[in-house]
Amino acid sequence: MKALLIKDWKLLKNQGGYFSTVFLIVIMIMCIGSADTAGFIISYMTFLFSVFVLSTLSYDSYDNGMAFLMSFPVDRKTYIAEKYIFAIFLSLGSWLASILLRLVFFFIFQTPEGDVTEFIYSSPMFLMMALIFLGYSLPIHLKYGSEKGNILSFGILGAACFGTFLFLRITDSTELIRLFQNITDKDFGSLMAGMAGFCIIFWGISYGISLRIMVKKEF
Amino acid sequence: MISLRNIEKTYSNFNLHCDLRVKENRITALIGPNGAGKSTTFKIILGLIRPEGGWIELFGKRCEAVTAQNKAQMGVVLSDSCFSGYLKIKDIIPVLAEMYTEFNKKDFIGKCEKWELPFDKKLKEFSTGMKAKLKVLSAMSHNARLLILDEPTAGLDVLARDDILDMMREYMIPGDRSILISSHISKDLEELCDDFYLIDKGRLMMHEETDVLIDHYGIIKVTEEQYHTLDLSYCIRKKREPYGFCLLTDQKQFYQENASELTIERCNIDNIMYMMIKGDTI
Repeated sequence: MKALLIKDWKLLKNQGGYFSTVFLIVIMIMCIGSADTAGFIISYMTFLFSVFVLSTLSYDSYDNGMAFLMSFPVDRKTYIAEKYIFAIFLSLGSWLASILLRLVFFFIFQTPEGDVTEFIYSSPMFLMMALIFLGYSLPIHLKYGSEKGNILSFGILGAACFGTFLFLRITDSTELIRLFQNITDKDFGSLMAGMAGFCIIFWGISYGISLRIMVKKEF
Repeated sequence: MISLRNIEKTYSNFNLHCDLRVKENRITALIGPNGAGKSTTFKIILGLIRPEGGWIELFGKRCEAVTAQNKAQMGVVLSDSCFSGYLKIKDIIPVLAEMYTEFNKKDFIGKCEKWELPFDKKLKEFSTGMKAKLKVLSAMSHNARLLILDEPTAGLDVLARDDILDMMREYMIPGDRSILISSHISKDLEELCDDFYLIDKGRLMMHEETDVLIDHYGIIKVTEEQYHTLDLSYCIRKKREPYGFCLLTDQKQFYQENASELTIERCNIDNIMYMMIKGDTI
């Protein structure tokens, strides 16, 4: 497991240019953006770093490399477990880093306290979104490879965004937002626990499916 | 070390049926033309593909019982796959060190330097020869008991090939190790291997000891007339040629003693493979 984590970490380091660009864009947006852009920054940074787990699957498969990787003292279960651990490490790490970065900018620009509190309350939602995206994308990428996997994963994401947009247009969105704010204000802890529980169950199912795909796979 | 019994694997246009054994302190070669089933056999041994039938044993254990510790005693080269092309040698070193408790880092680095492999270049930018060298070095870097080498010398120049053959001879010195190897360069195999398996179209055509092959097998070239008068009891294959027939015998001494007028040539792996696959049975 540790050897696989080292491998993925090295792959991440070798893509330093890509991540430096992401980081620079984030800094630029923070400098010119208002408090409203905070959500975008967190979701952008968390999402782009999290998606790298899917890239490691594609790098592992490059030039039929999975066959070689599986000839090492690594079993298929360990391989899948490592991918999920690496995914948590990346999502959580990039999410925390983006929050810290944003708080530093809030401090520098003397942002009103209300905006900071709202930002802190809404930030777990972005981590949850990244985890849900990875939760369904990992088995898809394992099953269909990176090319088809990307089309399917982003297709599902696009469809979900479009569906939400339509839903909010059709229904009375102000009422929904008020309901959500009520829950956030009254019982933020329970909301967080519910979200965490949902993510754990979703990832458990995702891990089980990924494992089944991997066990059946031939290289 | 390895035992395959009645292994069956079917693809839409290919069916493999294979029996094979690799004993301790032996170098066994698997030879055959392209598409014969060599790489499929290697992948079955490594658990990369699942056979529909048969029995596989590694280190005396059923393949289902093979642990990561057992796998750590194997060094593997696959013809069509390597480390991810996005990694560099300097990235691979800590991965191998973590993967194998007996990884000899100093030796690995020394050999990479000797073969002028760049440490700071992505593997996807490596030439075929450089990749081949790296694959062999990593397979032999951790004191494995068993080497499974599918085309390890493909893409290498003569000097590097000789170096690798020397490394394999040196590797066998302790006496409790084995190698299963396939190669298109038959000269390498003749000098190195103790026994051969020849497969074609997924079927085992022949299994023979190298010494027996050199001492007993021969190619007899005869005219049409000689062919009809010759005792063919010890010939196993015939092939029509412009001058008459080319015959493969596994008892060349018999013909040397009883038909001294005939031209009997020494056999090599290429002759045998050619005659066994292209020739007709007698």
